[in-house]
Amino acid sequence: MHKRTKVTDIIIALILLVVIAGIVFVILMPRRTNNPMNGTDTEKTVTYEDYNGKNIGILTGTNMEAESFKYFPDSKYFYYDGYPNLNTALENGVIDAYLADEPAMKSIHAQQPQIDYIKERLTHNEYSFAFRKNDPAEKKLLDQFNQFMQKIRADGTLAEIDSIWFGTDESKKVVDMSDLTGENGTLHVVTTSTDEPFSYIKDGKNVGYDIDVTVRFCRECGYALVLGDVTFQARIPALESGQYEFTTTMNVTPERKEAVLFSEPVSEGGIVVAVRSEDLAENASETESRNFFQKIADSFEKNFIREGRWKLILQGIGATCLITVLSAIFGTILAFIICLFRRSGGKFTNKVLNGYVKLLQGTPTVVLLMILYYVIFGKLGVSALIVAVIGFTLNAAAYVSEIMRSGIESIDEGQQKAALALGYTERQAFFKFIFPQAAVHFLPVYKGELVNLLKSTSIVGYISVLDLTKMSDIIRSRTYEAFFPLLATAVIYFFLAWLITILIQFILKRVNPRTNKRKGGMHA
Amino acid sequence: MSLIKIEHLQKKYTESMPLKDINAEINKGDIISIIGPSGTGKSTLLFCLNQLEIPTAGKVFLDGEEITDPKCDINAVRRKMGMVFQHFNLFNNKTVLENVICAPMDLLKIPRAQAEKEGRELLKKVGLEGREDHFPEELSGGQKQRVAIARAIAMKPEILMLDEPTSALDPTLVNEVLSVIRGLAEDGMTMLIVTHEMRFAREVSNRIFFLTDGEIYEEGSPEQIFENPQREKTRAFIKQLKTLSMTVSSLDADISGITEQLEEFGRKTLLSSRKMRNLSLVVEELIVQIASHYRQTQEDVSIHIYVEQSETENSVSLEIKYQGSAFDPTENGDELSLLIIKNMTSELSYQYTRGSENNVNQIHAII
Repeated sequence: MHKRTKVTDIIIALILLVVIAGIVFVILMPRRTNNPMNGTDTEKTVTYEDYNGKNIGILTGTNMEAESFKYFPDSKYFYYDGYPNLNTALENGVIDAYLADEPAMKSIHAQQPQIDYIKERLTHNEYSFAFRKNDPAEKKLLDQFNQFMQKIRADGTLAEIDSIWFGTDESKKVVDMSDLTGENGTLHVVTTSTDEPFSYIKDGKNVGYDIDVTVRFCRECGYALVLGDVTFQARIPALESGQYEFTTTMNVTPERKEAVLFSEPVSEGGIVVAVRSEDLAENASETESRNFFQKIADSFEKNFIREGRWKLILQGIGATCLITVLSAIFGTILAFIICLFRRSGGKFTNKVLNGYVKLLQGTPTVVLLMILYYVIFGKLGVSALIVAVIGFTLNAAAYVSEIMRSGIESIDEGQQKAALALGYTERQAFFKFIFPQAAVHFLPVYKGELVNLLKSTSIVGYISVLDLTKMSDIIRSRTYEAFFPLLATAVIYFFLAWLITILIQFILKRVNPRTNKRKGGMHA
Repeated sequence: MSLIKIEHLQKKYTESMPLKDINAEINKGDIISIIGPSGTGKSTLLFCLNQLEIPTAGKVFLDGEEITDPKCDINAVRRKMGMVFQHFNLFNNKTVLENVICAPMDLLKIPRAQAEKEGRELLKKVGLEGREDHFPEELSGGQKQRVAIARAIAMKPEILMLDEPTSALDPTLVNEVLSVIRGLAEDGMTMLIVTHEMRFAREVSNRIFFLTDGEIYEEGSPEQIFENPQREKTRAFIKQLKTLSMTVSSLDADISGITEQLEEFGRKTLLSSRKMRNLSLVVEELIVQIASHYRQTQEDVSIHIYVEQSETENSVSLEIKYQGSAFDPTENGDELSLLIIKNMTSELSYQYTRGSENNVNQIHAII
C-alpha cells in the first residue's frame, strides 16, 4: 500500500513537470508581438545604432562586454554563459541584440534561421591561440606553433581549413585524432566546445576550426593531444594554472595580451550585431509554415537523434552518477572517521576537525572545485573527474559528519554508560547500541544531503568535466534550443534523485529495528 | 574476606568534591542502603566503584584485586558488578529479550539458545513474561526498570548496585520495582542501593550508610540509624525525614497538591498506609473548611501546616496555624466534616490568640 503511494507521488510529480513545461513551450511558441523595431521605418536598413538603448546581451568573460559598452552606451546589459542562453534570451525578447564574432553568427544563423545578424562588421578582429606567459617552455612551444602556422599559411593548408569550417559541406567537417603518435609528449589544450565553428562537439567528437588546426599541429610535431573543456571565462585561468599548454583561439585584445602570449593570427573576422531575423527588413516577408506538432517533432529529432546526441546525454549521466556515487561513498566514510575522531579525539584534533567542517560549510562548492583544480592540483595533471570526486568528497564529508554528529548526540548518553557498566568496551558500545540508533535518526536527513550532492554535481562543468548538465549545454550550443535539452536534463536529475531516495529508504528499513525485527518475530 | 573494600576513596571536580574520604567494607550477602541528603555524592560513590567515574584518589578492591589499578582490565571487572540506573538506560534499538541476553552472549560467550532460555526465565521472574519482543519505548517506567534489573543480573554479577532505582518513577509504579528488589534480597544477592525510600531501606537492608559531606558519616543497622542515630547530622536528617511543613494561601488552596506532598511524606517515613489515609483526610477536611470560610470573608490568609511523626512512630501530630479573624473549624462547619475529623483524631484542640500585631488561630491534633 505504502509503496503504491510512493510510485503515485512520482508519477504525479512527473506529470506536473511535463504539464508545466508544455505550458511554457506553448506560451513561448507564438513569438512576441511587440516588435521593438515596429516604430522604425521597415524600408530603412537596420544598423547597430538602432539598438542603442535596447536590452543588450553579453557573453560573459569575452571582450564583447567592453565593445557593448562602446557601441550601446545607453543600453541595459544582461550577462549570459554561452550562445545558447543568449539565443534563447534573444528569441524570448529578454534582450534585443548581442555582439558576437561573425564566424559564430554564421553557424548560429544556419541552425536557427530566426536569429540573424547585421552584416556590417563593427570591428576587424584577429583570432589567435593563447599561451602562458613567463614560462620558457611555453615560449619554445609558441615558436614551434608559429612556425607551423607560417608553413600551413604558405602551402595553402590554412585556406583549405577555412573552406572546410566556414563552408557548408558537413561531410568534410571531421577531425581525426586517432593517428597522433605522441613521441614528443602530450599537449593539454583547453577549449570551449560550445563555440561553433571553432570548437564544438559533433557526433560525440570534438571538432571545429581550432581543433583541426591543433590536431594538424600535433600530428606535424609528434604530440599526443588531451582536450579540456571549460567556459569562455575559465579558459585563461585554466591556462595560467599550468594545467594546459595553450588554449584555442580567442579575440586578441590589449587586456588579454597582458595575461597571455598570443600566437600569430589564425583566422580573422569581426564583431557583428546578432538580432532576431524578423527585426531585419530583409527578412520581413519570411513566415513560419510548420505547425506546432511538427515543430516539436523536429525539435526532438534535432536535439536527441541527430548526430547521436542521446549518446552525449548517456555519457553525461555516466559522469554525473560516477561523481555522485564515489563522492557519496568516500564522503560518508570520511564523515564517519571525522565523527569518530571528534568523539574520542583530543582538544587539538577536535579544533582542527571543527575548523575543517566550518571552512567547507562556508565555501561555495564551485569555488572549492576551482581552487582544487586550478590551484592545488594545477600542475600535477590530475584528471578533472578525480578532482571533482575529491572536491565533492571533502564537501560531503563536512556536511555528513555534522548530520551524523547531531544524530549521535540525539541518543542519550545513558545507554553508553549502561553498556560500559555491563562490560562492553567504548567501541563495542558505540557500534552495537549508539550508532545503529543514530542511523535511524540521521538517515532521512542524509538522504536529502545525497540528493543535494547529486544536484550540486551539475557545476563540474566549471572544471571541464562533461557531466549531464555540461552535455546538455553542448547540445544546446549546437541546436541553439533550450527547451528539450533542459527538460530532459531536469527529468533525468529527478529520476536519479528518486533512485537515491529509494536506496536510502531500503537501508532505513534494514537498520530500523522496528520494521526489521517485527517481521522476523512474527515469522518465528 | 570482604567482597569489596574501599580505601580513602576521593572524587574531586574543579569546583566541588562530592567524595572526600570513603572507607568501607562490603561482605558477600550484604544489602546496604546508602541514604543521605541530596547532592552528597551517593550516586558518585556507585559510579566510582565500577570506574564509570574515575576516582581522584583512593583504592577499591574486588575479591582482593585492586580495580582502581590502571593495569586492571576494567571491562572484565564491570561484568561482575551489575548496575541499575535511575533512568533505566535500556538499549532502545533492542527488544526486551535482547536487552537482557545481548551482554551474556557478546561478553560471556553464552550460546544464544541458552542465553534466551535464561533470559526468558529472568523476565518471568521480574514479572515481564510475554513482553520479550516489545521495545523499551512500549513499556511503562516500572517495567523498564524491571527489564534493567533483569539485564544486570543476567550477567550473574557478584554485586548489584542500584542508583536511585525508583526515583524517576511515577509513585504508583514504585512498588512493583521494590518488590523485585526484595525478591533479589531473598535470593541472597549482594546489593548496594542508593535510595530515598526509607521504609524500603529499613525493611530490606542489613546495613545503612548515612552519607554526608563526602564521607560515610554514620553506619549501622537500620534500627540504629532510624531509631537511635548516634551523631548529630544523622539525627537531624532522620528528624527532618519525619517532619513536613508547608504553607498554602486560603484563596487558592491546592488540595490535590497538599495530598501529594503528604503521600510522598508517608512513603519516605515509616507510616502505615492506614495512618496515612487518616492524616490525609483530616488535613483535607480542615483546609477545605478554613479556605471556604475565608473566601466568604474575603480575607487572604496564609495557612501553615506542620506534620511530625512522633518518636514512637504509632502516631502523627498535626499543627495548623493561620492568622485572620477567629474561626474554629473543629466546632463550626459542615457536620459530616466535623464527624470525620473527630473520629480520626485522638486529640483535637483549637486556640485563638490575640497578639499585639497579629491574631493567630491554632489547631493541634494527634492522629
